[in-house]
Formats: sequence, C-alpha cells, structure tokens
Amino acid sequence: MPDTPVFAITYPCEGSSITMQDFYDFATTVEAAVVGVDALATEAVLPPNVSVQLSLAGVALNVATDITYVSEDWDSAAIAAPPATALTVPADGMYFVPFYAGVSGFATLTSMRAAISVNGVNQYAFKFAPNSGTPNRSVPHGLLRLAAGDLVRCNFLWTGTGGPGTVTGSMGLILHSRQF
Amino acid sequence: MDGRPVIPVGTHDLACLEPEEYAALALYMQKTAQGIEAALMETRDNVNEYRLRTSLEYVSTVTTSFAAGGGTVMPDGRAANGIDWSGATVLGGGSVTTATTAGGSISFVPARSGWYDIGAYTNAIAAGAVTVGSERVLYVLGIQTPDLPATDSTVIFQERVTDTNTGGEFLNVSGLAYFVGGRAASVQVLVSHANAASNLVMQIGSKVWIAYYGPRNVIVANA
Repeated sequence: MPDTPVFAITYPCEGSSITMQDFYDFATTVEAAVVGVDALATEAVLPPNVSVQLSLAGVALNVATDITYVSEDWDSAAIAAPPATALTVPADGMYFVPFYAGVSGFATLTSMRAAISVNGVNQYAFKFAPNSGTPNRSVPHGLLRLAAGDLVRCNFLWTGTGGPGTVTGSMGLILHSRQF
Repeated sequence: MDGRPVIPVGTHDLACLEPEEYAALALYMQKTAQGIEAALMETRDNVNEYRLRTSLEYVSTVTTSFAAGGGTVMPDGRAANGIDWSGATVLGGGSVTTATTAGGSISFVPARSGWYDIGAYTNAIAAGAVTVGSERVLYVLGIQTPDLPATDSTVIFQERVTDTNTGGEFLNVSGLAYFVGGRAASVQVLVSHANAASNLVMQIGSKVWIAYYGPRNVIVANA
C-alpha cells in the first residue's frame, strides 16, 4: 500500500477492497506521525535544560579545580546526576551556559577565575581581583555548539593566602537550537 | 471531495464521508492521509521555528596581537591581519540568509523579524609588560535602517574593565536586539585596550554570535 511522502501515513489503493487491516495501518501510521510531531513540539516548548548548585570545600590555592554540583533543578533530560562535576549534553545543538561562582575561606584573595569547560577545554571564563565585598561574579551566558555526550564543567582557580577555599555558585545548560 | 457528499471535520480541511459513500472509501483514506500530512507539516514547520532557531557563531582559530588604542574588529577580515575565524559553526538557513565579514562587520538579512541574542567573548592576554590599571573594552555595535549606513555606529552592548595582571582579561558581553526581517542589517564587535606597555593577544576560542531568540510578541506582551 502507498504511503504519504513525509510522514509515511499508509492508505489503501483506490478500487481495492478495504479491510480492517487497512484501518489499522492507517490509524497506527497517523498515530506515529502525530507522536513524532508531538516530540518536536515538546522539545520546542520544553527544551532540555538544567540548573545546578555548585559547592565544593577544600579548593587548594592556585590549582584549577573542577567544582562539584550538589543539587539540581528543572532537569528535563537527565543532564545532571548530583553529586558530580560534569553535565552531560543530551543532544547535538547550540546551548546557553550561564554560570556564576565565588569563594570563601581565604585569608587574602589576590584573584579568582572561574571557567566553563567542554571536555576539559575552557570555553568561557571570568577573572577579577576583588577589592572588597563578596568575591563572586556572574557571566550572563555563553553560546556553545555542543554534541551529545559532551561534558560541561565549571572550574575555579584562586590566588592569595590561607584556605583551602570553599567555592559556591551555580551553572546551567539550556538548549537554544537543535541546528548543528 | 470530488463532488461526493462529505461532512467537514475540524479546522484543517479534513472531512468524512456520508455513510452511503463506501465505494469512495479508499480515495477518502488517501485524501485524509494527505490532509493529515499537510496539517502535520504546517505544525512541524511552526514548531521548528523554535527548535531550529538559526544561530551564527564565529570562533577564532589562531591568536592575534593588537596595540593599544583604536579598536580591533572581531571577527576581522582574515587577510587584513591574519585572524582566522572558523566557519565550522556558521549555521546557515533560517533567519540569517547571508553573513559576511567584509569591512569588518557581520552583514546579514534576517528572514524573520524578532529579537536576536548578540554576544562576544575573548580572552586578551598582555604580550609583555602591563600598564597598571589600563582598561580593556568589548563593544557590540549594531545598525539596521531602511537606508543602510556606510558604517556601524550605535553601541548596543559594552563591557569595560580595568586590569593589573598579566594572566589575561576575559571579556564577555551579550544582549538582545530587535531586527526587522528582510532588511539588511550589520553587527560589528570591537575590542580595544589602553595597555600602552605591550600589545594584547586575543586567544584562540574568541567568539562572536548572533542567535535568533524569538518573535516580538513572545518577548513583549501586547506589542
């Protein structure tokens, strides 16, 4: 029996006798087509996304350290599995990766740097030497082209005296587009 | 359907037969299948407006050194000063129909009106001595008018920092800008610094992006 060209909806040839199997094939292929579009709609309305809360004590001076996340919110695609350091990219696409981080537990703080890495290579970072107040900072977001299975982490490096430091912050991973 | 009596169903041009039209059942199922397919294709296209939002991103593949003052364009013409921006992540189609870096700007014609996320990132490290307290600036300039201007002139986003270290200064700026579909537009990203003691070197992995965000009525209610 012929199918429609895009969604492969099966229908009987004109003039043939219609059986229950024809109705079954028609209905099941329509159902499959609708389910497929439903999945696309779900991805558009609720793209894979997650927000995790970072927290790690014992961060040594002058050593870039991957920061552990300890809890998660809104994880729609099994991206996070706390406690861990890596978010696992669920599908190919362009993603926004917002984050912020700060440190405490030091005697003096000369500088701090936080970076987002993909498979161990830094992609976005900030660095500053706080003069006063709470030493943390946000980055609005970074747009990254990521492949399914890529591992996204936040690493932190600080210089000064005292410590070891305790790093806290947050990080997110939000699918922007499935174009790849 | 072919002059036979049918009963309209729903709002997607589908119909069912009268009970006495059994002989036309096969044709009816074919027409219905085609009608369902057409309706699903329309829905899928609408959904893909959001699933496949066009994103354009340039990523630098070599370092480049630049002196204090003025402004260095990112991404610049590759022949001008040797900066090489990979095209591997340039995503065509959709809202960005053309994109060039001629003249230092990213020129494009958005197919759709709407808000676009525009951003840039670089890590600029002093090649030698550091001028204490010297500033580094990352600008995003954008323009779109009915009469395309010769140069970009409007700063729409900016990050300005001062630095006293030699370990690099990370600059990251982004925001949303509205562009009208079908009208030529351009975006220019400039990075400059006042580190008179030595050049700064933009590191591999610097980025510039333009990403379709959504139509105006998604962002601004009752617009």
